[in-house]
Amino acid sequence: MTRRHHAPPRLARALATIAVIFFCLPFIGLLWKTPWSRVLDVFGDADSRGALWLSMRTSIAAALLSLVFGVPLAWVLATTSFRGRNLVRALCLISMVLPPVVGGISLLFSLGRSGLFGRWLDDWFGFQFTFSAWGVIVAQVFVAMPFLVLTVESALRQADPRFAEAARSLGASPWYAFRRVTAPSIASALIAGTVLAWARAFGEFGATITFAGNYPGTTRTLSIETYVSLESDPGRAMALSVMMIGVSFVVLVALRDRWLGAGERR
Amino acid sequence: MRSRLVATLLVAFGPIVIPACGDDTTTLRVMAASSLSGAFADMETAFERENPNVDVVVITASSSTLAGQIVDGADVDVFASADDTQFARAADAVNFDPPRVLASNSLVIIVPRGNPRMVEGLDDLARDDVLVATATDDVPIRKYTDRLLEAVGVTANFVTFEANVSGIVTKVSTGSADAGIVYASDLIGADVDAITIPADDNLTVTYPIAANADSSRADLARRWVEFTSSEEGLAILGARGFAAP
Repeated sequence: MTRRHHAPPRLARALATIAVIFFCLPFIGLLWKTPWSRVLDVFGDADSRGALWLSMRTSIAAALLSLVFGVPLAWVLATTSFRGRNLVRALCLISMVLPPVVGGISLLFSLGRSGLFGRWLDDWFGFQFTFSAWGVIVAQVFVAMPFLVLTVESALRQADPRFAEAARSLGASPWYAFRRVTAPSIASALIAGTVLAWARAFGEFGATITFAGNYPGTTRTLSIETYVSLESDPGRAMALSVMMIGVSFVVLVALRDRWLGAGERR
Repeated sequence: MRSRLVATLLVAFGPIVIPACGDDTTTLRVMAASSLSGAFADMETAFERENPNVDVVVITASSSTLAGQIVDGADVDVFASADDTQFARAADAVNFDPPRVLASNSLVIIVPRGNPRMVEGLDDLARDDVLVATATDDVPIRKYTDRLLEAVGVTANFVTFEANVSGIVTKVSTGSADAGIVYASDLIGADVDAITIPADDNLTVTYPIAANADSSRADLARRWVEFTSSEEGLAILGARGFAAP
């Protein structure tokens, strides 16, 4: 399977080097300015831990919800053809390229307490998403699920359908064939998609503050805590940024070699 | 092949990188508290009409954000802040002229249209069934709100700390929050109902404004400051809900 590529020309390598430097510079600048003596205090204080805990809970919930609804969505988009499928796909993926604040405003006017649909929740159950952790999760799922759908759909399109067909012809139900034949063959895409969705949810800011609000313990996620600190205490904001970079980096590196780099074997 | 790539890059990025030449327009950078955005937009139009070679750029954000940007070296010709603390913070970093008072403002309770929770005064902000929106600690409106509530002994049922005043207005106008305290001038154009705060409990908020004395455009900056207190400037401020200084 291994295919040897020719080394790219020098110009391409030079441009690639510039790109790498471009990605590294902000982190070097941040790490350079971070008040390291305070980092442990900041990590330990109740506000940061509360915000980290909230971010962890909501982003994992958002990733799982994206998995539960996103995989069937990708399955349908990849394997069926119906009128308006491209339109449906565009609608489902648009939040990926939308400014998050626009997503937040749309959620506010639809699922907010006096929104078109949210008012029913308030009338019937006295419940509103805004100002609750559920609002955070909704905002995160809205922006994060497309990453999973896109990843899984493209893997399903590339997967060989004959194996699942063979399973079906031997009497397997569609769910069984998907679970035992198709899903294992796209395992790396499922994991990569879930991790991407989780990472996007973990870093979510604009849609969250617009739709869910900002209150310690219920809606103030780590990214909002970082933003809020920036004005009152920049050193604290830098320490929190280091925390977010650390968490994201560890997760990406841990998964990178096993899953995100599937197909690339050396 | 390579020269074509270079040519493409030049065409794509040239206009961004190479500044416009032979243009005698002067750009005046005015930073102003978000509550002033409507008034300053009107003044920008009027000022540019009277000074055709001037392009006024009005940058609005919460005063604390702007002061932070000025401290970090943002290019500023005029700064109008919603409180003295943030002005002083900026003035520590930049040599502003002595500030003058631009306008004054008062505070008001806003509720969603129709006032669904029947909020009548400051006392109601402590009710469990009244969700109150305010801003984060550093935003001037929050400081004034805290001062006002402390004076009347009310502990408000805050449910969210927004990044600026417009965040408060949005949460209330969309009915997510049941009440909030904002500047009287924020009522202009906002889709909310207002509950007046009695004058005895209310605060008068004054806006300091000053030109950056070290700017190469200091003269022009001072003309803008003067314009804001001219008859025309005061009329605009009045129409936008501000009181005379």
